[in-house]
Amino acid sequence: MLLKILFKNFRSSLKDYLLFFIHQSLMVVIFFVMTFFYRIAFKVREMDNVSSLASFIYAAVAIVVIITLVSTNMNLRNYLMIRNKDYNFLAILGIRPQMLYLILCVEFAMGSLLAILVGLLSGSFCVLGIANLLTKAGFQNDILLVSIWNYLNSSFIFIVIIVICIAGNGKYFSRSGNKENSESTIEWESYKAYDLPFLLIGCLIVMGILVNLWFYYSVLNSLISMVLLVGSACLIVFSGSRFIFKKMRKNKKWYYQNLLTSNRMMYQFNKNKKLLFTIFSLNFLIFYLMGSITSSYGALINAEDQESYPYDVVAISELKMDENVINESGITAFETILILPVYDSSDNSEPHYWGISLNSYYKLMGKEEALAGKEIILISQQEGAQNNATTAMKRVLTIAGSSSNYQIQKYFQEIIFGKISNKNLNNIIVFSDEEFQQKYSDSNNEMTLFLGEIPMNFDKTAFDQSNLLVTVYKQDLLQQIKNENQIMFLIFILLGLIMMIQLGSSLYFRFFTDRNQFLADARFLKQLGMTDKGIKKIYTKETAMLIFLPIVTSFLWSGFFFCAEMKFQNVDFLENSGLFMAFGISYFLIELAFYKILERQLVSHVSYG
Amino acid sequence: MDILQICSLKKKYRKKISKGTVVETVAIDDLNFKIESGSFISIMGKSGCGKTTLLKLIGGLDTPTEGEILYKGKPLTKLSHDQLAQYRREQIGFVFQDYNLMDSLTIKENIMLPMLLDNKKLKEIEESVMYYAQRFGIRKHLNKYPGELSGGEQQRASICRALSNNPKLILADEPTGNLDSQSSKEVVRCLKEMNQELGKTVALVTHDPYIASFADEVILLKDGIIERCLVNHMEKDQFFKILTKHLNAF
Ligand SMILES: Nc1ncnc2c1ncn2[C@@H]1O[C@H](COP(=O)(O)OP(=O)(O)O)[C@@H](O)[C@H]1O
Ligand SMILES: [Mg+2]
Repeated sequence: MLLKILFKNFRSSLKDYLLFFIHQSLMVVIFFVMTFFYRIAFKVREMDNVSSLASFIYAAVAIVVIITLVSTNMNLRNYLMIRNKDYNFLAILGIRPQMLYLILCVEFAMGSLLAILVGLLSGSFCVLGIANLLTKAGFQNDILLVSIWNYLNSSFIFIVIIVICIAGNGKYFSRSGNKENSESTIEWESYKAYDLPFLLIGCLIVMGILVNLWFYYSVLNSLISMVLLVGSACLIVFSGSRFIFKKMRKNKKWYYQNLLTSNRMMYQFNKNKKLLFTIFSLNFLIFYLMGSITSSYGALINAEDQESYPYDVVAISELKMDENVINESGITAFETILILPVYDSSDNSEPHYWGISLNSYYKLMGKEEALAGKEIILISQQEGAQNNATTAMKRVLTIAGSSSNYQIQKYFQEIIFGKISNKNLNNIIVFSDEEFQQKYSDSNNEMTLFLGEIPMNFDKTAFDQSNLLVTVYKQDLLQQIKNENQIMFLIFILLGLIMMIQLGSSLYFRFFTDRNQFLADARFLKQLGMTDKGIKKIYTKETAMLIFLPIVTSFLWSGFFFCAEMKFQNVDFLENSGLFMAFGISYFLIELAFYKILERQLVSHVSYG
Repeated sequence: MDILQICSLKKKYRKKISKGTVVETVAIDDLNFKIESGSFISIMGKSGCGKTTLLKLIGGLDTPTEGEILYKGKPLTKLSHDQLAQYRREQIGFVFQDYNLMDSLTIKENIMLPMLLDNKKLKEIEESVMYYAQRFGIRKHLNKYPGELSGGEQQRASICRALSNNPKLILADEPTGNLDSQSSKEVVRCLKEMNQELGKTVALVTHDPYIASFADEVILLKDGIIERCLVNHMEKDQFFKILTKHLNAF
């Protein structure tokens, strides 16, 4: 009997469940693809400890899991809201809350199992496509494997998330049945007038962060800044709009003339604070990723036109290296470039600058015109630049360690291949050849950069046995950078996609739950003698605000953030701005299409009254 | 003079159940009657007999399948969508069972709404809000939100709103349906007051014979046609008894 009721109940709610189900299936697909990448990361790490790809993928997986957890929880809540009537009905029939909870669990168990099946199946096809793409891009086949491990892991993560969400919402049933959306009245009046101070604090925080990022960059700093930025943006938007709203309200004539529009907007704004916050943060991430995609894609393109550089082998050694080692490897003609640490007189622990001779500079950069007529060029000698000087060279050195990350690698690549413009080479001093000679004789711990051409019979082992701090082979490096960039590019797109899905589904659910209220209001306004057109206009504005306000704010904010970061990552953003615009515009178009669909779904019902 | 003439009015609802089969519900079947300007009529009948449908048709919220409604001699079916909206805005005031107040607006703003839609002057609007609020005893609630008021107070606010645009015809669909008897009495007294003192024409749908006994004329509907029309020439209590008798005979 109970089973019969359960089944009937589930069947009747199938339509409400459908969206949730699609969302779940997509999540499984994405998890599956992520495990595929995770495996690649694993393999890459085994093969080559230089790779920064692995840590990048770990981070991406973590982000995906967190976002999914949050949004699944949100969608579940909305789903409960939609089903509220059914649950109340069943409760009236005398079914105990625990039983209702069980019903929900059974519904979800069935739905989730189906979602896993569908998701894994379509995920397999996706992975097949991606693997195909990567093979074409020059990846070896043997790391592009899918095994039972992928299937198990992606289902497992998904099940854990669902269980957490369901367990977290158990409270819903323990409360007494009739739990409507109770946050309905506007509380503008009850807020104290702290809006202006909050607004100012928010602005100050943003400025502080940007200034801080501008002058001092580190990954940690950047992460913390990101979180603070999101927080301060909300502070500014929420208290700012409240401030403006109150000001507007004082202007009676204007306020009453636009009563419905302004009131409805503020009402929705207030009611959907959490949703707006989520959308804002997701969008912030999307735009940030978009910027990163652009720069990573830019690096991919740049890596391809390095052919003009004359040397194939680049090696850095901290020791004075025996030239025999190089000779043994089969390289006959090579260049050495000596790099000297330049100490500050007061502090001998860290080199103040790194110096090279003018001659070496020519060799490194391959262009003389940059130095026309000058013997000594101090490209930068600003006060307090010590940190920069040492970190820049450390960045080069970390390549040797396994803890390198993507940005550092790129930086290195740019130094070596002369891609860096003068403005960014602010840590290296170029000495005249005579002065360099003089300093060289004083010093006893210089580094040597070896440049040469790789002959056909090149013996890598001899090279590996030497005391080289790092050996970089141009062809390999390029291939690796290309490969990694391609994977990162794909992952960036995947991340963007998942955020868009989350965004879309949470918005859609929100409108779905609000639809009855919305139609009731529309009916009521119609009775008052508003035309259909007028009613539609009000709701169009309202919907547009919920979708586009967070997008516009996050666009601005991530723009600030990205600009500040860029200064330190030596990414020439403008170079790739066309690509960024293409991404941005297509994103806006997608949002616009989504908005149109929502609007159609909701507003078209108005005329039925 | 008749403010409203209803001529052989028919309304059918069609509903597709599955492919090919269409179920037709006849909500109103050949109605004919007139409402005199300044009168108070009440429409009674069992649930599902087409009362709400009738009010919707009169208010221009729906279009009849056949027949015609003449408002001051002009047919409603000839009006465009926008003209119908204007007709509702200027000529009709609605009072519904579930108050239909907007949660996000204060009571004052709710009452102002029809006048704001009509682009009246702010000073004029505020005066008229004060006047009606005073009259129907909700003055001290003006700055509250609908959720903070009792049902009776909300219904009185909704009556103020219906009146605020100074319409000729008030359509009330079971305005006391959600209220206890004390609040119901207050509300129907308000309706009576605006009929007698402000000269509005009132069409009131109700189940309750006591509420209906305030009317000048009671129309009993059954299955979409007029079963009987009772005119009130007598004392209220007496009329109430007659009404109860008729209803029991239904
Ligand atoms: N929108 C609609 N679609 C289909 N049938 C309707 C619709 N509205 C009302 N009806 C039907 O018309 C009849 C009269 O309804 P209504 O006027 O609401 O009755 P009441 O007298 O209780 O207010 C009922 O049988 C109802 O089922
Ligand atoms: Mg009804």
